[in-house]
Amino acid sequence: MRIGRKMLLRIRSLFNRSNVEEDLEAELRDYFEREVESEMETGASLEEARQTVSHRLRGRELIKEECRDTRGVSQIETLLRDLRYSARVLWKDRLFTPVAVLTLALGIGANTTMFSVVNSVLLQPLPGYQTGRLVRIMDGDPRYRAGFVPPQLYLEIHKHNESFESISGLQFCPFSLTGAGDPEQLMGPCTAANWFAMQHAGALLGRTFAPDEDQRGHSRVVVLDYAFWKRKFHGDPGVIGRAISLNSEPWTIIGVMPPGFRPLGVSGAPPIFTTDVLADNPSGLIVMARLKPGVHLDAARAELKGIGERLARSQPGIWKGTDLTLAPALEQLTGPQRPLLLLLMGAVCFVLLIACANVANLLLARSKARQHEMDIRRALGASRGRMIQSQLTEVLLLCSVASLMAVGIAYLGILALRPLLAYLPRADEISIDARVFVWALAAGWLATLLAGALPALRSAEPRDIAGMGARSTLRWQTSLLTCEVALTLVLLISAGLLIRTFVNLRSARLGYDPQNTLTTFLALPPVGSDPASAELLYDRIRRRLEMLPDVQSGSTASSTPSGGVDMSVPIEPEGSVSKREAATSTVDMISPHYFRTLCIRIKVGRAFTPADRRGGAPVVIISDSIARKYFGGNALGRRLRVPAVNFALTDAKWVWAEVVGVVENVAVTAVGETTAEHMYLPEAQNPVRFTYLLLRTDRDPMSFGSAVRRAVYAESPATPLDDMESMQDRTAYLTASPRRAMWLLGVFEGLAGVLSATGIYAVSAYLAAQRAREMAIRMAVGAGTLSVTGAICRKPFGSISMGLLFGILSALALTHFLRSLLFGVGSIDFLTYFGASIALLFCALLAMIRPTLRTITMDVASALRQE
Amino acid sequence: MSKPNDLLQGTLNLLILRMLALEPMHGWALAQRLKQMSHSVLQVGPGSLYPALHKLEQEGWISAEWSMSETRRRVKFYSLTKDGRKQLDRQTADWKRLSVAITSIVLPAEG
Repeated sequence: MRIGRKMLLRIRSLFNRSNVEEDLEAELRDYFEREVESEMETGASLEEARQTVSHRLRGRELIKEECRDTRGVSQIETLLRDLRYSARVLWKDRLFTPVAVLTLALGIGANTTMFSVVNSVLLQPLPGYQTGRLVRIMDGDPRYRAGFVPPQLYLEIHKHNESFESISGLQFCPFSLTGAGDPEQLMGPCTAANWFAMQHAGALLGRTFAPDEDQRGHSRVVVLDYAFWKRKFHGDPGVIGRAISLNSEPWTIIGVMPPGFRPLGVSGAPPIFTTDVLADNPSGLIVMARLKPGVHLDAARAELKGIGERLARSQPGIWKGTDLTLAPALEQLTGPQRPLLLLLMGAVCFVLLIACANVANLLLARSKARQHEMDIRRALGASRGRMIQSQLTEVLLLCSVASLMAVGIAYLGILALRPLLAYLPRADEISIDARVFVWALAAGWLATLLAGALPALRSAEPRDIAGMGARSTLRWQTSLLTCEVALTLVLLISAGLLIRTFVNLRSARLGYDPQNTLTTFLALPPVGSDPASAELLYDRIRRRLEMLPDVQSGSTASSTPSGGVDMSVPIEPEGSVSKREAATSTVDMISPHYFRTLCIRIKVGRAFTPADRRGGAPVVIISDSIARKYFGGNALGRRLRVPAVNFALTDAKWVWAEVVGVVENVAVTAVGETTAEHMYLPEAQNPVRFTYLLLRTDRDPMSFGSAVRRAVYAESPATPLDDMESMQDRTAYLTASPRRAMWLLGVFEGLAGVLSATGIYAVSAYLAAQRAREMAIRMAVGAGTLSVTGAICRKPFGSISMGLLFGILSALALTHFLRSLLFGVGSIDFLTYFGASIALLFCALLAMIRPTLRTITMDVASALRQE
Repeated sequence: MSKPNDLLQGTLNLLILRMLALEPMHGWALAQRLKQMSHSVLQVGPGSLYPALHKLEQEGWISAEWSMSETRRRVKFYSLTKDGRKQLDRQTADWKRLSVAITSIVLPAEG
């Protein structure tokens, strides 16, 4: 209350400045006159009285000043006065101001752009109700990939935990939608009934799942995604209660989700949400849970671990490898992108530092020119503090303007970088909010201190010995130049390492050839199709495809190297002891031409032939990795336990199959990572309900899309096909992350390069101008062009060399943060370091050309006449 | 004329609050009243009086109001606020303790 009142008085005295002044004057005049009157009462004349009182009240202005001080207005007023003065000075300097503001705006702008990305992706809580309390529960059991939790374990956690308010699981279920426009292949989460309730997500129309709708016999209900509802049902509210045909069975639409709904644990926007009897699901589940209020993350983690250990003790046969962990939903979603984003954030901080060094340098050069003004101010009694304050005010004004521009740059930057950022989780949420604004301002203040402190301190320094100040200013300038070069070199080396990585990735062996290959996916309805007819249908489709012109070969397969229907089984060679915790191998069911289509080399043995058919002896082809690890490299003719896969992939019997071939390994998770183990079974012996179509073509594969559609339609009109994709696109994920890092870092590096080149230019131009007279004398007494050039370039060249040295040292220390992004190149790579240094040196020399030329071509006589 | 330094730190504030507790008055009157009540021992010049008044106003212990005086001049009248009255009580109590303590040291009781 009191503080508020005080503030009010202060602000009043600030804005009613003239009023307050008048009041003060009136108050003192009143006092004066009363004194005069009382003096006159003692018998003095008016004139005498006035003189006596005036004499007594000599310090009238001082009294006023003291009153003003107690009102605390003076500091704010000083600031305002400084701001007004700075604005006038800066406005008049049409050379320095634009350059400084632009430099700062670029530095702060790059920083703000990157921060708005980090803010939206890593810092903002996920949309939805208290998403900070949502976690994903994962099983580290090596038998299950990517943290999937087996359904039985899910039920166990459900029963025994005390940390979670609710736990829900989901899988992805493929559906063929028929009877509503074109047949369509849909993939959406099929979840426990409480999935929506756990997220506190309500439907826009209709309702979400009722608690018993994941029980057997109740689960034929569908909730539609908003976009899908708009597209497929034209936003018709009458769809609620309508039946649609999924996998040829009737399902009831019960609800439509609102447009902003973002399902958790699911990437992208799935078209439909269905319930599922999770206990019946043969594969692992994605399990999400909501922490009870007051339960800490670590406590829940410890409890989960306890549950896993208890299970492993009681039934080691089943739960031996169980290792339960959890991660907050946000971290789970954005975790993999974190290092890259933080790296880029670091890079833009470097850019900001370079910008600050540049501006500091400009300020130093300018303060030299303003030395005269400073001397006058000092002579008039300005204190050191006041002079520093007024200088900093000037920089603050520059930085504030730059901050505002930076927000604009960030806005444009996000638009420009959108294609590179689109892959990020939550990319659609990237925007500029209040926090970004605050960040831009804070970066501006930081820049004020970084760029302004040194020049302000320097120029407030009294010039005690003539020329001394100039020399130490020069030393500071060259030191700043050194820093700038060092910072730039670190960025340049980082970008160079990523470029090398990218080149390596491009030429790395994947084990297969993704070029000129088209893929698509089809699934047969679960009712009314059977293995025998499927096998025949696939065969007929393959024949049709291979007859297309410019098609080299076509094949069908249950999966592709870049993902598909994942099935993994333990590897159990005949004769070895059964080890359930042994590593697993993926199982692909393929047609005879699969290896030819993907150009996977057969090392020994043969590919499948039409002779490997149903009822024949079971055969298997294995990857080289399995052959080496389990058969000592000599696998041909040996036997391996393989699943006899059932048509709907729901169950498998085990049979012994003979190894008839060994093929080259293929990269699955990362380029160069070809240790993944694969078993290939002949499709004819294990036909399944869905398959990928793969096509090797002579020219652009995407141009075959409609031909493929026609071929499949001719054989089976009711079978929906997925979108066509080239294998090249499908494998992009392997190189995507370093490629984007390279581009983004490249952009920032380019910016840094331009900034430091300007810095080098400015400093060498300044030095050259300062020494123009000296050079003129040298030339007048006969110095050659070469020696003058040497004299001019020595200083900047020296500090650039120092900068390169420091840059290399810092890069040695810092680039190991990049290591997770690199491939085929160490973080300490001679070629990159050398190349980057040479490139920067070249830039520096380029920047020095003009000032040097100007000196050696100057008119000696007129230069001497100056001053 | 008594310099502010001759007064104990903070005493001027107490005196002003005390004066204004009697009735609202303007600066000159306050100085006169102080001089008169202290039998000319305490004399406060404008150099310490006005800054002190402005300070007290800033603190919210006194409030100021402009009005016309008997001689048709604009005069600033100061008066004690509610906060100021509390402050006066507090400072008076402090003063009592202090003066008793000082007296007991400077003029020890005989015997």
